[in-house]
Amino acid sequence: MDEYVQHHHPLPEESQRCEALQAALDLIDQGITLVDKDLKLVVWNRCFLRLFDFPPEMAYSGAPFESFIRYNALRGEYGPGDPQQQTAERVAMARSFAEYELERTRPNGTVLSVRGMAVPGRGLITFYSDVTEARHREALIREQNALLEARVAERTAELLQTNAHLRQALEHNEAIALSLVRSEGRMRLITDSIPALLAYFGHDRHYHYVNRGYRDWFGIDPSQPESIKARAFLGEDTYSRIRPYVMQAIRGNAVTFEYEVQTVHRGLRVARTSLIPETSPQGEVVGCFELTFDVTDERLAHDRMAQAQKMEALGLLTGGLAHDFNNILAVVQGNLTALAEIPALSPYLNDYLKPALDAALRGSHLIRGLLSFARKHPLSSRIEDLNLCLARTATLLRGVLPDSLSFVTEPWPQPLLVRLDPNQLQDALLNLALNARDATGGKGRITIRCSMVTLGPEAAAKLDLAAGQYARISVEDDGCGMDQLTMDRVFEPFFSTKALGQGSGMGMAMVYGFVQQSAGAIELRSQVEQGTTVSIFFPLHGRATLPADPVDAPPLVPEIPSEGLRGLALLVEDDPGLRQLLRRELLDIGFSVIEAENGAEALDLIDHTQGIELLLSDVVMPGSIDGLKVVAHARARARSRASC
Amino acid sequence: MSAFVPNRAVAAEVPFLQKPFSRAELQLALSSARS
Repeated sequence: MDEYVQHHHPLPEESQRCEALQAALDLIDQGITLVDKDLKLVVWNRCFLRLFDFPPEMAYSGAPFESFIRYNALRGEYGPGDPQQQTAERVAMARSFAEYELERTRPNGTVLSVRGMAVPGRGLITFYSDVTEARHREALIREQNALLEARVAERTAELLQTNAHLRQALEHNEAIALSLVRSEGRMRLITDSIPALLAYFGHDRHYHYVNRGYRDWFGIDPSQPESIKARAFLGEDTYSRIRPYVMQAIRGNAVTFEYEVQTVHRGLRVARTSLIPETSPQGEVVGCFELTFDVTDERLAHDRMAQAQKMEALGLLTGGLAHDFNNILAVVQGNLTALAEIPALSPYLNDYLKPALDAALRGSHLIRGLLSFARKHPLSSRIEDLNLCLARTATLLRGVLPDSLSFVTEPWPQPLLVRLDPNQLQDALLNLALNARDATGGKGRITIRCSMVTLGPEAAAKLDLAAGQYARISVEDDGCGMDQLTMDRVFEPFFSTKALGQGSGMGMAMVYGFVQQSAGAIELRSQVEQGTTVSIFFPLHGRATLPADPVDAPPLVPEIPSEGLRGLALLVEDDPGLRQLLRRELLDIGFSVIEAENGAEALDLIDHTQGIELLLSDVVMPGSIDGLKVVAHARARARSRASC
Repeated sequence: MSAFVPNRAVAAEVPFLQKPFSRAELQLALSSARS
C-alpha cells in the first residue's frame, strides 16, 4: 500500500483507515482512479493497473495523470495517430471535469468501459471495468440473434411459401369440389330424368344412392339413401322373392329378373331389374348397380299381342275348317231337304230323314258360330242407333230372363250412330246377357248400358283402337265373375265353363268375331264373386242422323216376280255338290241356270252373256276373285248398261 | 252367298244368304231383294 499511496503525516488511526480503504479498493474488480483538480493521481487500485497493464511504478500519489495517457498513446492504445496530439486531446477533455462514459478496445482485444465523473472540490473520479466478456457475450447473443432471426426469416419464408402452396392447393381443391358438386348435380339431373329407377348399394346391402324414380314409386327421399331398406319399401313378400337374385349379384353375377311390386303412387307395377356387381381390383364385390324399368305396359302389350295372335291363329284354323265343312253340310242338308220334299215319300223314310236333317241343322248352327268367330260371316252392315238396337234386344231378353233377375237398360240420351250388322249385334247381346244370367244364377242384376266415350291414346291402345269417340254398349252383372285363366281363354271357340252339354263354347267366340269384323273392340272386366262387365266399343259414325243412303236403306218392294219363268240365273259356286244342289233349287223356282265354278269364270260370263236376271254367288272361293268382287263387277256392268 | 239381279235399271240385290239354306230361304231372300 505504501508504494501506491503517499501519506503526509499520517496519524496511526488515519493510517490504519487508509490501509483498510486501499485493501478494500484493491479487492474491487473494477479499476478506480481519483485525480485532483491538477490531474494528479490521488487514489488508484490494483485493478486499474492490471486493466491497463501499467507498470506499478507509474502509480504513486501525485503522479501526473497525463503520464498514463501518454504511456497509452505511445504504445498505440488509441490507434494510429500522433501520440502527442492524442495525449493532448485526452488531457484537455479530462481538464473539463465533465462527466463522461466511453468504451474502448485495447489492442489486445480487451474491452474497457471508462466512466468519469467530477468529485466536487476534489477532482475527477474514474471507474474502469473490463467488459470484454460481457461484450463478447452480447456480441455472441447478437450474432446468435442474427442467426436466429435469419433462420426465423428463412423458416418464415419457407412457411409463407408452403402457405402459398397450401392456399393454391386449397383453391384448386375448392375448384375441384365445386366442379364435382356441379358434375354430381348434372349426373343427378340426368339420372333423375331417365324413366327408370337407378340405385347403388354396397356389399352390406345398404343403399348409397337412389334416383328420383324411387320417390315416384315408393315415396322415398333420394337425399337420404342410407336410411333406405329394400325390405321396407318392397314389402316382405316381394323382398323374399327377389332376395335370391340379390344374393347372386352380391356373389358377383349380373342378374336380370322381373317381379310385381306394389308402388305408393302408381299401383301394382311389373318391374324388370338388372343388378350389376362392382368389383375391386382384387376381384372382390364392393357393391351393385341397380337398374329397374317399368315393364307393365310392355308386359300388357306382349300379353295382348300373344292373345291376338292366338285368336288369329284359331280364327284361321276354324275359318278354313268351317268353310269346307259348311259346303259339305250344305250338300247334305240340301239333298236331304230335296228328298224330304218329294211328295208321297214313305213315312218309313221320313223317320230316317228328320233326325238326319235336324243333325245337319245343328251342325250348320255350329258352323255359323265358327264363321262368326273367324270373321268370315258375311255382315249386312248399316248405320244404326245403338239405343234402338238395345231396345229391340231388351224386348227379346225380357221374355227370356227369369223374373227373379233384375234386368235394367240404360240408353244414352242422344242417338249413338254406328255402322254394324244389327242382327249380329242382337245375337251378341243375347249371348252376353244369357252368360250374365248363368253367372248370376238367375238371382242377381243385369244392366245393359249405352254410352258415348272418348278414348285417349293410352286407353285406345289398350283396346287396339285409334284414339277418338266411340259408342259403347256394356253388359254388366253382379254374378260369380271370372278368374284370370278363364278371362284369358273366354273368347276361344269351344271354351266353356258350363257343364257338358249346357254350352257350345261358341257364344263368346261369335261375339269376338263380330266385334272384330265391325272394327270395334271388346273390354272384359271381371273379378271373382264381384261380377263381370263386357263392354263393346264401336267407332262412332260421324253423321248425327240416319242416312238416306240406298245401301243402308230398309228393303224396298221386291222387284223380282215370284212366280212363272224368271229368266237366266248365273250360279257361281266352287263346290260341285253344292252347285248341283243350288242349280236344282233355281230350276225348281223357275230360273234357267248358267254356272261358273270360280270368280274369273263368273266375270267372263257376266261380260259376255246377255240377259242374266239373277246372280247367285258364293262369297269365299279359290282364286283372287271372290264373290264380293263378282257382285261388284256385275253391279258396275249394270250401272253402265243403265246409263247407255 | 249373294244374289243379285244385274241387268235392271235399278239393281236388285238380296241380302247375304248363309249356307246351308233351303229352297224356302232362297225364295224368301229373292222376294226381299232390295234395289
